[in-house]
Amino acid sequence: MEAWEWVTSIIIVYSLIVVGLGYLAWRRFRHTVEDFFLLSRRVGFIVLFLTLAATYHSAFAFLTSVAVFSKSGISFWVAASIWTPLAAVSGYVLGRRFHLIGKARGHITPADLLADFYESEALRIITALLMATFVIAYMVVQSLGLGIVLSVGSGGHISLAWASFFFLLVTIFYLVVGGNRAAFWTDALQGVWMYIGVWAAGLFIVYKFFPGGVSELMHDVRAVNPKLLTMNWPIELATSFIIVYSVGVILLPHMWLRYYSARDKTTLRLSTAGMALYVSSYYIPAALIGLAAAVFNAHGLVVNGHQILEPGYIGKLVSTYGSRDAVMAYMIYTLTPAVFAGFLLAGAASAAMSTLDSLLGATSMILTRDIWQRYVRPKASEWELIQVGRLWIIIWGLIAWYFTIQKPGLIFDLVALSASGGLQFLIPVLRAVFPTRTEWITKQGAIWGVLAGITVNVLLCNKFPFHSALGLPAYHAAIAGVIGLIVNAIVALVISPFTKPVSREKLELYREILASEE
Amino acid sequence: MGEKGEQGLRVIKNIHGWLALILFLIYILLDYLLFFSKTLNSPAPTVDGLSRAFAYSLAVWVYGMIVIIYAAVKAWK
Repeated sequence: MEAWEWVTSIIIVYSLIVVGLGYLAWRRFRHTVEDFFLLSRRVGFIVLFLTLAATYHSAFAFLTSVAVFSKSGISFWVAASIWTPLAAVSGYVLGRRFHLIGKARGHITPADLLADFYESEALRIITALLMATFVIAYMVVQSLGLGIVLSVGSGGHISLAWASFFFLLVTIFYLVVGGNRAAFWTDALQGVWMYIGVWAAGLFIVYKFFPGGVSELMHDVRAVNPKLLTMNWPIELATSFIIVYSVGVILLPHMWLRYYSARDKTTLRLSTAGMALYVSSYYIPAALIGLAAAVFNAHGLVVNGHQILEPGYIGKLVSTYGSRDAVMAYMIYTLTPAVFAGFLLAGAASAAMSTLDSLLGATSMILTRDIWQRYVRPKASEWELIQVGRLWIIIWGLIAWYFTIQKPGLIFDLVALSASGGLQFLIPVLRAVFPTRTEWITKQGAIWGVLAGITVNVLLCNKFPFHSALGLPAYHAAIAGVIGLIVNAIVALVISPFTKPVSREKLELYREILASEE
Repeated sequence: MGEKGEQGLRVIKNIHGWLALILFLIYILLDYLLFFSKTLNSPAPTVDGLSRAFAYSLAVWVYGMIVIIYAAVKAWK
């Protein structure tokens, strides 16, 4: 067999394994909505820790981190070493409260919590629709990543479009069959696989092609471009990344629902610490691979008289895949033995699939619970709701695939776009989970704040065309998201003193729920 | 006991939590030093070949992880 056949076969075998796990999850399925989406709120430490880590880390971690390291150097590490622990900590601070309130009040979706606290159906609809819309960019990221992995792994024999379609079918299949239990279980497998994969790839590439190890790599990077070894992002850009990739991502529904599903507080506590260690240390080998990619891009790579990588090879990848995200997959495919490459690329697929399944599961949950059950068929049976949930998984998967084949750009930017939408819910969420007696945000304040924040975010984001039509400045999605959050907070704080506050009974109820566990 | 007294008791009871929070904020500030210090944010090699900026950031990260573990063990009970 040729190298590409080995690699492709291993990736496909890996896909069959996760489908098998989906089947096993189906056998444990209790045929209730709560079990389909939240596993009956009984997820223990190992699965919760790995699903949090694997869901947080996606094609973003495995593919785009290496791509960004190869362009911006250790700037990515410096910022990521803040945003990853911050994501874990904010996940604990907010997630513990989501867990306690959700368990006491029977919440299943993010909109359940906000609509319940503010007693507002309008806020429910706004939350559900905005979250379902903004996560599309995140789904596209995973679908794109999966397409890159299989397309590169097949030596270009499978196009990006068909490669991503194949993986979408696999993910949709096990999710439709096994519900979110399948997503959690496969996340546990994928979390282990991708972590081993990135460390194995990093150590192999560095010690095989730089005999002096890390020290030689650093020497070569210094000779190619010493700026790659310093922090060279502007402070406002780095700070925006830190805010968006930590708090913004945690507020997206696929992360939020994981906090609902935890068994208890101890599980959450240990999972948070595990997540912080896992997600941040993951970027150390990614940095080494990215810096090696930059050296090879400058000089090329010749082994035993054969040109393995040409100088400027990253430029060619950009023209084929629409961004430099394929660097990691291409280096693994080109520089490692075929069987090893198959395992490593299956690890890359794990990273993307474990987030795609979570996103599809969470979006399906939102649309089923907050829209279908609430406004279309209030008397729908549990069976009907599960079938509707499955249908949403298929529809949203196909939407993601449509945008994937448009080659929408760098994964790093798409994740920022998605997380900037999640960030706009920070103000109403803080008010709900810290129910102080000070009346600082009301229902109207929350609604108009979110709408204003989202509007500013979309108008200023360089991924949308509106800024040029209106003559507005354009910013990276992360910066636009933070500006949106500032406007959001101002609008909420200005409107709130003039509108009806949250009911005293609801405040006291939430305070009691939170106090009962302290 | 008045409300202020109860608040004071809560702070004492959660002393590890406040300490962990302060140590975590110091972690973030230490990382941000790279934006302001040209001495630290340098590509010059350290003894192990890493750039000064990278070595500094890795050392700060190790400190941050110790803080997280401390918080998980002592503060978030």
